[in-house]
Amino acid sequence: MAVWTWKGIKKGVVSTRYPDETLLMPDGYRGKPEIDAERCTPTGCMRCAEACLPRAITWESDRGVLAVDYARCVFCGLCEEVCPDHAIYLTREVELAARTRDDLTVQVRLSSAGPAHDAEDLLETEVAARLETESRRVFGRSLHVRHVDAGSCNGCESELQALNNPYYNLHRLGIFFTPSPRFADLLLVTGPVTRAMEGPLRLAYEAMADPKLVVAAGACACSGGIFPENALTMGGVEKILPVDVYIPGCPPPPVALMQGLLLAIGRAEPRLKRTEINR
Amino acid sequence: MLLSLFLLGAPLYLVGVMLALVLPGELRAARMGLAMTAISSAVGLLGSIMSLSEGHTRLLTLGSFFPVGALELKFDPLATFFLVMIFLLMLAIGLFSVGYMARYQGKYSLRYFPVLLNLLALSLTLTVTANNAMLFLVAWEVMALVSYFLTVYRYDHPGTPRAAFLMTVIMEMGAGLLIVAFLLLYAFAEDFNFDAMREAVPRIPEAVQGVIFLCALFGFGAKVGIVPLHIWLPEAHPAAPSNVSAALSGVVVSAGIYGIIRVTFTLFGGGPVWWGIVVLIVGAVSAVLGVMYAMQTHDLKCLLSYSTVENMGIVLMLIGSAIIFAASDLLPLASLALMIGLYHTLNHAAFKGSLFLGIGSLEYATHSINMDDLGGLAHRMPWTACWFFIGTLSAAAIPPLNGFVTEWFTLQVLFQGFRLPSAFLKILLSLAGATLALTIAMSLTIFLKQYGMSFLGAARSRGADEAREVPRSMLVGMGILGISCVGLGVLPFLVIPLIDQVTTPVWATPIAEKVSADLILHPYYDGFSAVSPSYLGFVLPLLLLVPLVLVWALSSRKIRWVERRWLGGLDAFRPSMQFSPLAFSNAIRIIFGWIYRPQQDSRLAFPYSSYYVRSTGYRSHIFPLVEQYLYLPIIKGTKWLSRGAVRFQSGSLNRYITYIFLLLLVALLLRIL
Amino acid sequence: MEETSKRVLARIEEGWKTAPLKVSEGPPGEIECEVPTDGVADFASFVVKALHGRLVSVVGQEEPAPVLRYLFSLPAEQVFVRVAVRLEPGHRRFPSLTPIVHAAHWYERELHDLFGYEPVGHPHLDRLILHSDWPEGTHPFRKSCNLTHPVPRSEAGGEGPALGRDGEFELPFGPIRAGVVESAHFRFLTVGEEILKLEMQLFYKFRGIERLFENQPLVLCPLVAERVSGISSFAHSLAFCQAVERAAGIAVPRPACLLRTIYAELERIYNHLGNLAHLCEATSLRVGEAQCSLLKEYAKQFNAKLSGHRFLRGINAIGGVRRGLTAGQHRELLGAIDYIGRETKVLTDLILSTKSHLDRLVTTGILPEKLAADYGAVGPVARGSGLPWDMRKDHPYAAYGDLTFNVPVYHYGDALARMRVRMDEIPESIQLIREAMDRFELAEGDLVAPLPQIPAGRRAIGWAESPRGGLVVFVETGEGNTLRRCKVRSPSFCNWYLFQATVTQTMMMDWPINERSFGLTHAGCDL
Repeated sequence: MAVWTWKGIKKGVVSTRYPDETLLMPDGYRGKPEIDAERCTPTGCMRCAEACLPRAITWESDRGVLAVDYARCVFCGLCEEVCPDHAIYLTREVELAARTRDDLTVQVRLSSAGPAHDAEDLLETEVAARLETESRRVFGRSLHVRHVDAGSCNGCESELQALNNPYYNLHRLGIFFTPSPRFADLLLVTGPVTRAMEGPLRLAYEAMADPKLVVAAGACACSGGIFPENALTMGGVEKILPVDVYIPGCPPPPVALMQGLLLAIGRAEPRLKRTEINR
Repeated sequence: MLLSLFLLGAPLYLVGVMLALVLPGELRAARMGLAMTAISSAVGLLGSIMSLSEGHTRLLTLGSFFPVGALELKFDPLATFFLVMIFLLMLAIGLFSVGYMARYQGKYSLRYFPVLLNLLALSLTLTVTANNAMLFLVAWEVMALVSYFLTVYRYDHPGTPRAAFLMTVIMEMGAGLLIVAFLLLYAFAEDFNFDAMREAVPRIPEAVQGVIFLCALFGFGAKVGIVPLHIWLPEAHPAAPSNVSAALSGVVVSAGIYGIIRVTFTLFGGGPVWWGIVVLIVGAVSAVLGVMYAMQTHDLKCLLSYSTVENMGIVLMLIGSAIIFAASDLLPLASLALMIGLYHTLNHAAFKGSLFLGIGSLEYATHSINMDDLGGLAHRMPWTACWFFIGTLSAAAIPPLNGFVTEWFTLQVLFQGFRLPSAFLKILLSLAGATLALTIAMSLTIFLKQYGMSFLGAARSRGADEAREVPRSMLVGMGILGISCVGLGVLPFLVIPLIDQVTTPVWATPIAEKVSADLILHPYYDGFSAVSPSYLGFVLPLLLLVPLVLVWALSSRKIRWVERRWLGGLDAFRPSMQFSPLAFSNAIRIIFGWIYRPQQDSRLAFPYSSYYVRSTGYRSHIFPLVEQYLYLPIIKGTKWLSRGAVRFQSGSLNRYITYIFLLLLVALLLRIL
Repeated sequence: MEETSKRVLARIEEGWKTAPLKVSEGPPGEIECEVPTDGVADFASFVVKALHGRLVSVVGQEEPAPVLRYLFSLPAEQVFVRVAVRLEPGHRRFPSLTPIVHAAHWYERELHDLFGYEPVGHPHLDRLILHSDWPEGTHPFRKSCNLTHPVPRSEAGGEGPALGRDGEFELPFGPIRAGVVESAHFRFLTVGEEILKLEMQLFYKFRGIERLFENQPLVLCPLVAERVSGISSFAHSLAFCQAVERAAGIAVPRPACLLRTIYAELERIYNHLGNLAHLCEATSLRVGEAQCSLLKEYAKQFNAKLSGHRFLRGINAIGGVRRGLTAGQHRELLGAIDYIGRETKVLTDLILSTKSHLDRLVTTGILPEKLAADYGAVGPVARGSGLPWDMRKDHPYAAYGDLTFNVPVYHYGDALARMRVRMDEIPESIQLIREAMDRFELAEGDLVAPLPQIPAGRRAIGWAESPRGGLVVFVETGEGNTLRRCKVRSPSFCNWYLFQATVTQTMMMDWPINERSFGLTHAGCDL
């Protein structure tokens, strides 16, 4: 047994200091797709929308808008492959957590006609700011998370389990996984919510004491991902419970999960906002 | 003063008997008779307590005739103390029975019961106050007879007649030993009076003293239920109706303790060390075996009966320590040990009585005393749950209740063994202390199991589901004993001076001032250790209430009460999802398998092939050690002897005349020689 | 027809005279035999006993006509035999194969739940996939069941288990369990220390993912295959792509085969490391768990560097792979597997010398060889019980036919045996990667073959050995380069039933260790 202790000591401290240091994914990692509206074919060839399995990229022909929804994206890179103009390309950015689905959308106006956007941002910012300070006050230093698997493929669970390995070491942030919803402050849900898991998920939410937060991790939980909204899969957690933070990814790597959890308790800033690009 | 009260009390028992027999209306007659029990007990209780505080001794002669001598009743502090116990229990039982007996209307004769109960109370009072061996034996036998009839009250339940019969057989074996003991004493004292016997003791040779002591120990021990004479307890106490079980476990076994104390301390003044060693070992073995078998039973009353065996084992350990300390000239510790022995007997009567009455309420409400059928009764029967809980806490020795006080003291007494001169005795007392510690831990487990399986969780059967709170008289009966448990626990500074009146005359060492001073208790030597149940009785409830009040007052959020259990996301709860009584004690059963020798058998049912198992069937039995290894050989031996003796019963008249002639010859020879 | 298929066909014609048989050819190494409904049990028995076939999957299909196929693997000849049975549209009954071939147990129950096909004579025909709140007569994979509307929930609750009176009680566990684990329900029938019987209710994660393959552009289908079981994404997409390639007759370029082998072995490495970490966690060997999970994290980060995704997703395409390796990545790969090899050796040596850890694994969860063979166990579970079954050797695919490697087999069948199988497979994987790298030469345009127009009605089997065992995919093409039916059979589906059998009459404390040593997923099983 002493040999193990020696091995551990020899290894030394390997934990990252995120969020105090930046953690970058390697070059070539398939992260957030960016659209260069200038390069896009004037009329819109729509090959990217056809190649998108979860329908994250959609073409609204009546408004002339190419819409990207990161909550649906599975970061497969097929859009980049099929685009003839190199107008859409994947970056290596993975910290995409946001408080609302709206913040995860990008609207690219390809034609000049179209209505102007509405100005409800101001109100949202205020509400968001208040939520942030309140969350930080209550949960900022210690958060207990209850994870519920509502039908995921197990990829998200693997990344969540990786949060407790020595490299990411979630405990140093004061965030712990707890076995019972009665002890939990935050409900972390993965999977599109299958029919069989709808009941247990609701029971878990009701079993938590106030104040509580809900975080949807992964494309399936944010929006249903590749799964349609039908009798077998509900189409995302927001159809069942009020979601406080969405963490896109398929699966979101541990750094994205950490950003999402810290965002939920007010210790990180969201990096995405609803974006409108005009050509 | 007591005399006048007693003179008032005892005839009231007889009045109760008459009312029960004479009044019209079966239920009303029974209720009147039982009310009379309660009233006379109340009166007697008051008188006894007052008399005990004065510490006087009084004599009462009922008459005299040859060859028995004067039928004297002596109200010395020891007798008065036991009278307190008897009157307290009878008061509670009487009140309880007023409501309880309604259940038996139409099934059994209701008039008959108060008659028996009052006679039991009367015979008990005569037993503890008798100063004449013959009067004592007659009262003892009456008590045994009445106990038999009370136990067999529900004669049509399977197993009840056999249980009562077993009880009587062992009682009579004990009585036989008692007769031998008293006759031996008479041979030297030439008088049946206890005072005369005490004066004759110095003339009795050591060996004969030993024989008398052992006969008395096992004779009274049969009533107390020490191992190996305990086998009737777990059968008879459950077979009797619950209020009778309360009386049996509470006062009737205490009468056995009274007998042991009377013979050992009043007559012999302590005796040599080896008597103490025997008593200590017998006590320790009873305590451990009692609690171990209590662990594995599912029947609530059986569990309490084994617990009686355990507690009587503890009392015997204290008596043994008293003898050892006295023989080693540590008289204050001997007095302390005896004092605690008496205190524990009283406490045991209070909490055991309360628990049995509680079970009576359970039986009344759910028609079952098997833990596999109960559960979830705390909400349905809140007052019963409350009193039962107090009884459970006392029995499990939780501060600040009465069980805690005496168990703490017992451990302290045993730990004082280091003051003894001999190394062997030091080790013996330390081992006894370790055994006691094991016993206390296990008794906590069994009472946890008992309360948890019966009152907490969810109802395991329809009977439990439909239970409702019991009539008020039953609650009052339980309440009296419950309050006594609390009082005996947090007010020991009132109790100890009273018991000191009992122990002081034995060795002329009053210890009350050193033991209980300023609400703090010490085991005589105040540098050794101290505890204050009185302070605890004040502080512990505060520790519970203050945080709750703070949370309620300072919390800004509304408290949401949740009814729904968290089942891992499942929706439907079934009562079978709780721990069963067997599962609760399964770990102990495996660890102590060398005592239990469990035989278990787990069969999987697969109608098609072993690959498709449909259901399981699990059976488990405990191996009855004492019955198998002690009684069975004795029974076999007796049968063998009887078969041999049958040969003498030839039926031929000539043979019989020859036998008589031979006997006459032998008798004449003996007289000549 | 290929040589091997011809040989098998000859043996069938020689040995089977009983009932009429319609034999058709499939892709190389696959034979389809259609038998009448009443002859299927006998024919399947013949395949198992005389031809030494192993049941690997059962596929039900509604279109164009109700038919079910039993897929048998004949590893000796490296051939698959598909036994097809047409069902009457009216009653859809067929004689159950389970009494003869126990491995068919769950497959037939799955057919019953999803399609409403009734296996007559099945010894345990309870609901498997559909929980008790599905209304009677609703079968989600039938065309008549419209999944776009919500299906009402029926009130009929599940019954409690049959319990004895003598103190047995049930301990429910799940579906939401302690820790970050998948959702499944286990019900222990116990008397406190010993588990008398384990009843499982899985399929809480049933997503109906097989329907997502249908009528979808073929290009997008590998993405769906990857998400059947997220931690063996590569093996699943590999098996799927190979199935379509075989159906279409596409020849995959050699460099792509080598790359596929390399990535498959990388997936095996990080999965096995994760399993070692899990086992250490179960026995509370904290430093072991930390070190193994740290090494797994290194492997996943390297996967990201090499392929752009930590789980190696987005590599497989139909006809080859989507990206290759630069010279720099070539060097990095060799360096990384050297490092992993060295660290793994140190860790495995340490684990094997930790008596307290081994103590808890020895004789825990013994799976007898006969039971494993009868039920068609796969993967390290089978190889830990003495069955040398590995799809890389039994039916070589990608580049495995040309590479040399060993398949470790242990015979005791306990948790220690399964752990040792995985421990020994890591160096074998590293060796495979090195050998594949040696033969790898990159040439432009060598990575993916073009996708032709595939006629409808082509059927083929694809397979791969994932870290948890062999997985088998069956596809039938439809119009316009889509799929009419795709059936994925993950290794966890075969092994979960066996887990139940190893738990009966064992101690409660050994259960988590046993579960971790099986190392199965629920997503793969529940689909």
